[in-house]
This record gives sequence, structure tokens and C-alpha cells, in this order.
Amino acid sequence: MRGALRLLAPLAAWCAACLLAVPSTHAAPQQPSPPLRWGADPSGGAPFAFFDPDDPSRVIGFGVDIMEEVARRLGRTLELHRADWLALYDSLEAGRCDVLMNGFEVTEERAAVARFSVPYFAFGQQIVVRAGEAGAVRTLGDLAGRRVAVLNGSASVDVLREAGFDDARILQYDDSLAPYTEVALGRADAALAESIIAAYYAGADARLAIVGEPFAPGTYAAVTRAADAELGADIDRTLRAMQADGALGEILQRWGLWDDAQRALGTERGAPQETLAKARGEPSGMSSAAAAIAPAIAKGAGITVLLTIVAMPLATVAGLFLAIARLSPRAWLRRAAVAYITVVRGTPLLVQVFLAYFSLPPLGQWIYAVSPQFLQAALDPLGGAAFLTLPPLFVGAMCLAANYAAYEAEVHRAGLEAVPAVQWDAARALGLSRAQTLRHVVVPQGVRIALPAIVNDLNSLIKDSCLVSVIGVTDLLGVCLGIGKARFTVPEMLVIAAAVYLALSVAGDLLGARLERRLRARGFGTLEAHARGAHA
Amino acid sequence: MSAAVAARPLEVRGLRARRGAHEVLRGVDLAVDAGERVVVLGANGSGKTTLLRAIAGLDAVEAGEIRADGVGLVLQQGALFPHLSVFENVALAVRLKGRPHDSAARAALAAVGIDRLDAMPHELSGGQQQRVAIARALALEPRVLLLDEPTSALDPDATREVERTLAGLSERGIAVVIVTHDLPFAVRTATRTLRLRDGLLAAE
Repeated sequence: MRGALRLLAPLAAWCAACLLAVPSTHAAPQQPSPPLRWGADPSGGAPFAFFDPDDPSRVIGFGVDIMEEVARRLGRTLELHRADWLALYDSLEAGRCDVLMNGFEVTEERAAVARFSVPYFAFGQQIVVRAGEAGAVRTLGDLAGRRVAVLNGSASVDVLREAGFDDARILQYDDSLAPYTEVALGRADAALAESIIAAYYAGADARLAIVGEPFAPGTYAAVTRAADAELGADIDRTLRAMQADGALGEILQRWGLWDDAQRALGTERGAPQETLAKARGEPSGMSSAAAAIAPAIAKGAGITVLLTIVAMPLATVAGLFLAIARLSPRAWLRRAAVAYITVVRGTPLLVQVFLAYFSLPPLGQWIYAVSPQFLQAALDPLGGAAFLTLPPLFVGAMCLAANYAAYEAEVHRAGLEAVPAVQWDAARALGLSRAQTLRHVVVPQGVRIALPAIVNDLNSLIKDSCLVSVIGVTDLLGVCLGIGKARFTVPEMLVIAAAVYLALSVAGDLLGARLERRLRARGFGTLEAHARGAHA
Repeated sequence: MSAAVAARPLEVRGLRARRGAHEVLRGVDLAVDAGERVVVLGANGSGKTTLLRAIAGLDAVEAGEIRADGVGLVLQQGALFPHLSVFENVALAVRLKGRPHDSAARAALAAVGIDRLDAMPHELSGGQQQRVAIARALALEPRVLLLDEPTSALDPDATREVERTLAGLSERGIAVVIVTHDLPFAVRTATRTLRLRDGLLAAE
């Protein structure tokens, strides 16, 4: 074990260093007010907020520029809270961030539950088809009966439904890039998205053509909690000022987004600005970028390793206690262990991660609200009512540990049950208590029997850890997908991710093999035969 | 009984025990003096092991009285702890009882003639393993030592080693009860031979 620890210690230190080095988006540390926590999904989020193709550790976009200016005018620092786009609203409600600005279209349904700011951008729906079919399609009517790819949860979905498309012909994807890839590959016939997204993703792709005029106009606005009226008013006031003094118009010009529709919102154009080179999506080569993306991938891999080396030992130890409880003579303990194992193994890890991430904060607020004063005082240093609003990395690691504990419990149970009954007898005949027998005789043997299966689970945990990217943990897969979407190199980045996972998994197997050899060196070559006392 | 006469290390009266529906022991009486080596013979399934487990307190009995004064049990084929060295096997229980285990373990191993303290069980011969198992029980300083088929997996040389060890125990005043169906071994070892038949114990 000590050998394994020696191996892990520098690794852990490196991971911790990586964590601390994760860049806080933009900082002006002399400000005393609490940071303005802005929720956005930079994975495939161009041109709102996305990873800089030349430096994936940075998040850029016109949303970033707007929010920076808003925060500056409010005298607050800006802090980016990352989450999957579909989870952003829950992050806001859970109090993990204060404001969303990430292409949220103003709709009646949304306005009923959250507070929209004044709109900061006007868009229309834009059709994109393969270049060869550019002449045949002008309007949605030309696409009748054909498959149209859209961004999951976007206004385009409603537009298509209203135009009479049935759901089987509306192909929904989780990020902005995928609909265009699907059209280029021929799996969808057209893509429908807000003009701003179409211009960015399809404008520079020779395989695709933007056809017809934008239609079904809509607006984007920032979202705050309905209860947070003060911040909502601050943001409204600031956005209006930015519209009037040209600051917003200048940002839109820099991102190539200025058009007359913006003027109709009351936005002044401001001083003429040159369009940024990064304002148009340009496919970039891999080789030129290796130096830029390598550190980001290393950090992502570090997070994956960190998740694994925190979650797996916890799962192994917790699983052992669950297995012991399952074999306990006390019925209630057995039942509790069986219930835990059944529920955790019977529900998807993805659902558990989401549930833990979004249910814990309101649960914490409720517990705090109903707690007596002395308990509240004890919780205050831990964040008061927000004491269960834990960071995503922590929640992710704990979910992985809790989930794998249920599986390790079964592995340990098999190991403990494989220890021959005569070992229990021998220990009892020597006057050992049940606890002493478990601790000194049965568990050491059971764990050795279970070890190959535990190492096998370590291997799958390394890969399952990628599920926690849905709550915004920038693990290996999250980083690679983000870079791939920003640079239009998703397949290449997935190959890189697969290669790094493979390397980590091989490293995990080697570590496990080492551990097995160490334990076997203490006379466990033919464990079962010897435990029974056979020596023929 | 005067104080000068020490009680017998082991007295069993009217012991009844069943295994499932079958009544294996139907009123067993047994008294063993210090230094005696009592061998209990019996066919397979006659209840020999049940008798030892009952005396050692491993299994519940139905009726009867057991008065045993520090019992050690050596299970069939030793059942050493395979993950612990010879020394650790012998020292473990003494240590967990909070007694000085180092000297006790060394003395017990010396008594059975084992000097490979750091060896793992699987590195020893069958006879050596059996002697370590005896030492493991001995380290707790029992007055009665029960052995279940101590020679069942041993070759003749190893059987001789165990016989010598058992003779040594008697010299230390330990009452020894051995169940076996190894007749030649029984004849050479026993100071008294009994037979378990139909759930009752009778002189051979």
C-alpha cells in the first residue's frame, strides 16, 4: 500500500495544482462587492461564450464582452459559472449563479417562471442547407416532409412545431455545432437556428449554404431569479445605458452581429468597429494548435484523475462497510444496506449527478430555514443557508463515490463470502469477537479475493467520471468537447480524449496489478486452498 | 471437595446436541484429568466433530452441562490464517486480549518445535502447519486442548511430529481430547480411548 501511496502522492499534488490553476475568467480584485456570478455553457456556445480556439483555457464571445461591461458598470467582478446549457436555469434557481446570459430567447413560458431583462439582441430564424441544394430551398415550406436539425430547447423547435413539422422530423442536438455537422454529413436535410448561430457555424463552411431571409424574429435577454428584483433592475438599467451610449452596439460590431434589427431594439450603433477575426467560425488545423490545447487537455485529464483518486478509495471503503452491513446479524442493518445498494445500482449515475447537484441547494436552504438558532449559527461558517450549495467538482466526486460504493459493496460481499467458514470458526475458537474476526481475519482475506474485481471497477470509474461534465466539471471529455466545438475539430478531439482515457486506464490497471502483486507476495498465491488448510 | 484437590479441567454431563433433525449426541458424559490424552474414535458422522464444537462453545447444545477451564480447539487441517505469518497467527488472539503476546507466541511456538516465525503458512509442510495450529491454541494457555482429526491430511513422518508434540503437552499438564478415525495414531497416542456410537460415549 505504501508503494501505491508513494506513487499517488505526487499525482495528487499535481492535480491539486491544476485545480488551483483553473483560470477565473476575468478579475478586478480591488472590487469589494461580491462577484457577479454569470451562468453560461461555453461548450459549443459560439459566438455567445466559447473556448478561445487559440487558447482553450480562455472563454470568449460577445456574451462575455457584454457581461464584462455590465459587471464593470455595476462595480463587481465577473465570475463564470459553467454548466450544461440545459442545466443553466436550474443552476440559477439553485443559487449557484446570479444571472444567465447565453442566448436565452424570451418566451412566455420562461417569462412565467424567471425574470427577463430588457432584450440585448434581436435575431431571426435562419435556414441552412447543403450547398448543392441552395437553389431549391427558400422557406420552411420548401422543407415540408424533410428532416430539420435544431438546437435542443431553442426557439427553433417551437417555430418548426408551429409550422406543422412532426417531432420525428425535428432532430434535436445538445450543442450549436451538431446540427450543421449533421446537414453536411447528410443525416439531416436542413438546419434551423437563430441567424447569429447560423452565421457563425455555417458561414465559413463551404459544404453549407445559408438560404432565404431570417424569419420569426425573437430577442435574447438576460435571466435572473424572480425573487432577485434588485439585480434584475440593475441589469436592466445597465443594459439600457449600454444600448444608449453605443457600448452594446460596438460589441455587436466587433462580433460582426450588427444589423438594423438591433436599432429597432433601441440599440445605438456607437463608434465604427472592426470585426474580430474570431467572430467567424473558421475550421482550424490540429497540428498548428497542439501547443495551445495540450495544457488544457492536461488539466482536463488532471480533473479526471482527481475524480478517480478521490472517488475510488472512498467507494472501496464505503462499499466494504456496506458489504459488512449486508452480512450483519442485525436485520435492520442488512435491510438498510440492501435498500441503499438496490436504489443506487438501480438508477442511472447521470440522474444521480443531476439530482444531487440541483436538489442539495434547496434542501440545504430548507434545512437551514427550519433549524433552531444554535444549528443555524453552527452552519453559518459553512455558508449559512447555502451550506449544501457545494462546488460541482465536489458534488461530482461524491456522486461517483456514492454510486460506486454500491457496486463495490457487491464485490466485497462476494469476497467476504468466499472466505471459508472454517476461518470464522478458527477465530471464534480463539475467542475473537465478531468485529475482531472481521477486522483481522475475514476482511483482509476477502479484500484480497475481491481485489481483481475492484481494479476492474477502478478502470470503469475512470471512464464513467466523464458523466460529471454535465454539471460543468471541466474533466477530460468536457475539455476535449469544448475545444473540438470551438475549433470545429470534434472528431479529432474525441480521438485524443479516447487516447488519454486509454492511457489513464492502462495506468490504473498497472497500479492495480502492482497492488495485487504486493498482497500476493504475502503468501496469497493459492489463497482459498490455504485458508481451508489443504496443502496436498 | 477440598480446596487442595483441583477441579478437573474438563467435565461434560448429559450433553445432547442435534444437527438439523438428527440428534447426534444423546447424553454424553466425559471427564478428563490434567495430563490425560483421551482419544475419541467413531465412524464418520458419529458426532465426533459436533462433540468438540459443543465443548469449545462454537455450537449451541440442547441440554447438558459443560464445565471447561480454558479450552483451545485445533480445527481439522489447522485452518491457519493464510494472510498472517506463523508468528502473527499465534500472537493475534493473545494481542487482541491485551496480554503480552510476543513472549506468549514465542513460547508456544518453541513448545511445538517451530522456529520459522516469519514464514507464511503455505510455506510450511502439513505437519508444521498442524503444529503451528496447536501453538496458536496453546498461546492462550488453555487447560484443555481439543483436536479435530489432527492427522487426517498428514504423511507418517508428519504424524510422528504431531504425536511428539501432543506428548509434550501432557507433560505440561494439559488435558488433551482428540477425535480421529486414524486407529494406529490413536493407539500410539492415547492414554485412554473412547468410542462415540449411537450418540453415546463408551470406553473402547
